[in-house]
Amino acid sequence: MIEKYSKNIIWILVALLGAAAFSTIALSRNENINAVWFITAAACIYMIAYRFYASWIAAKVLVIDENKKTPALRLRNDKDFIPTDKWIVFGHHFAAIAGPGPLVGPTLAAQFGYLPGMLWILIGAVLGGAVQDMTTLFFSMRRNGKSLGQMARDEIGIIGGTASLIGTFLIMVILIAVLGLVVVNAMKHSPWATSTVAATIPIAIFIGIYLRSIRSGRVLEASLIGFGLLLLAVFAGGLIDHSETMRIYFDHDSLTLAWAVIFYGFAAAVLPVWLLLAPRDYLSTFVKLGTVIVLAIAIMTLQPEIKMPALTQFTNGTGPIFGGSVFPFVFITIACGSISGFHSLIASGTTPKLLDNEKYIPMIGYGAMLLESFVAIMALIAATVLEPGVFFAINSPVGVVGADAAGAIQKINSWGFKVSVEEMELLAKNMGETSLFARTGGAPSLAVGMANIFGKAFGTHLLAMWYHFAIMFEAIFILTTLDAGTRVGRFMLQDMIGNIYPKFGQTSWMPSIILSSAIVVSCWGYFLYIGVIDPNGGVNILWPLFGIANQMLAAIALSVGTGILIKSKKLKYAWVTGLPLLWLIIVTTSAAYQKIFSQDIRVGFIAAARDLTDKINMGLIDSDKISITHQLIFNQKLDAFITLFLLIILWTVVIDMLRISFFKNKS
Amino acid sequence: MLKTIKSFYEFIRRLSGDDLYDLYLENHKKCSKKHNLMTKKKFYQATLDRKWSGIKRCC
Repeated sequence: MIEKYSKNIIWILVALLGAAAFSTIALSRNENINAVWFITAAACIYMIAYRFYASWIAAKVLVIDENKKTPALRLRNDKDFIPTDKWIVFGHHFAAIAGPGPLVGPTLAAQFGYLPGMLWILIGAVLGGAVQDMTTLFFSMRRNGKSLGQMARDEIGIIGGTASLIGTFLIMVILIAVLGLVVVNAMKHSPWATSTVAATIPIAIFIGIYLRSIRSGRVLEASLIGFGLLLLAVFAGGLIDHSETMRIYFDHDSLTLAWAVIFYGFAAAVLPVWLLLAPRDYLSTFVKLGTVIVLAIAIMTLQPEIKMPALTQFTNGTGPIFGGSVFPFVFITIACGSISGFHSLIASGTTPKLLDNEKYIPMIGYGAMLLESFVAIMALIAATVLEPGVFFAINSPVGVVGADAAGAIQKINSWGFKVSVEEMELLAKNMGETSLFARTGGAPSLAVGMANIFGKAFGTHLLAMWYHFAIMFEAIFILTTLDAGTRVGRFMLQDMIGNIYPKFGQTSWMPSIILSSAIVVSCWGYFLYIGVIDPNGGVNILWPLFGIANQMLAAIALSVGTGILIKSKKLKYAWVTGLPLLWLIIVTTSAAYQKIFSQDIRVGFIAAARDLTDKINMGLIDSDKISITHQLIFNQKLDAFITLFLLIILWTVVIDMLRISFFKNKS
Repeated sequence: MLKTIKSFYEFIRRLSGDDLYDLYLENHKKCSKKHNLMTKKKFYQATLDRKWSGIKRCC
């Protein structure tokens, strides 16, 4: 009895502490707030959500049965279906879902101030993302580990199945392009960053050879050696940067770097997996988990002040990083960290084949998503501890603030954010860069934020090293996603074309490998190229497109879940997946509508295409830029078409789900 | 203390996939149907092929 009361008291205290932290964040205006409140609010909300909401979903909605044999036990083959310890599954699942998305999205969304991003990360994760991951994992486990595509085909029909297949392919293409752009922007005219990122390739190849031929399968020691070499690469990058003869080999513009990334992507997709992709993944997982843990410890010990206001004037849609108002754009800018459709592919991929008891579903499905959400909170903190003027100077594209440093500073000052040319020059010097202006994409500003935090914790004399370590940290798993995504795209394409020409479907047939890899790389390479030549930085177009595609996939996963709940006579609980689905429908539809039809040329694709056409007709475009402008016009129209296509898929799946669920329910 | 360090090391080995071949050998000994035993190198290759045939990394 006493124990029961003491437990209740503990939970009441957690709730009160969470409420206090949350109201401090929400009500603070015109004063600096400490990052500790962010961490406290997040931790309390996660604990309460996990203890009560996840448990309730497990007990009442899904009716998890711990005596039921899981696919890992029933279908055990020690290849795909392997009963595995819950903590190991948790580690694998988290490493699989946590990519660069939760770092980039919150950084970009910080242009609205810290509050919108913070609220969406917390509320979106506990009521949407974690629910999606957990229910998808459960439904997949109850269907022998079927994939989302197979479940969509079975539960909704051929339309749902095909939609998820096309959606996955499209997300892959846009995601790789935008991540490629983030890396390119971090490397442009930065010999230190470029040489460090380039060095990760031979290091990965060496580790690949080590793991295959020298010490087969010794992942742990190979990862440690690789990590040591990566640190050495960061250090050597500094030496290269200081050498007049060496630095010119690594000092390149965006376009050259984009071509290098495209060529690299093709090579990575064609080369054997043991040589580049697998060792890079071991290294990136190692670095990712290590850095995230160190960042968390540093934030908690240093307790930095948040400098960004709760809300900026850019909530009205005039933001320099991307156009569009806080609703709906914060909800598609932050996908990973709140709710990400991509996770449903992991939750219905390897994970359901490993769990040896259903009772661990909340821990893996719901818990791992909460941890990813926490990573997003840390990224938001790292971005918002910067002075807002510095944040906007780094993230605003040339197309908005101009190429001239003094002009850019004047523009940023006119928004009410203090920063000077001297301040930016000193910052760039401290970070070992020649300039930090217009380094769009989120990675450099996050790296500056991380370097500041690490610098305060471990010594400010190493700021440049920390900055380039952070760039390497982001680049290494962005490139892993790029490698893995291109390879998956290749498999999907081989599978699709294999239905018409069976020989092409043989995944090891070299002509098929080369052709399918070339097609996939051309698809994302096109968007990367356009992103690089776009004076507005490319992120303005690509990231919202990725967000819409990702949220559309989440809507498909939640449609499958809602459909299953309705069909299995659990209509009264269908709101659990139905409400986040409804929210995603509202958000995705309004964002897609604005991206297509808005008259604001920084938001609407058609308006932007029309504006550029008018400028050509009026002779306002220099003759040497006319051909690029035509490419930009074509791209704006293509983006409008893709957005419309995604919207049609979304509505078709939702309507079909409702039709089939209610029809089947009645019959 | 030593026991804690050892179990942590074992956990990290399992998490990273470092002990996969040891597990395979163990299972092979237990298994009644005797398949040809794969060499370390072949086993590593087979593990990678299986691991990277689907969507394994997210955004």
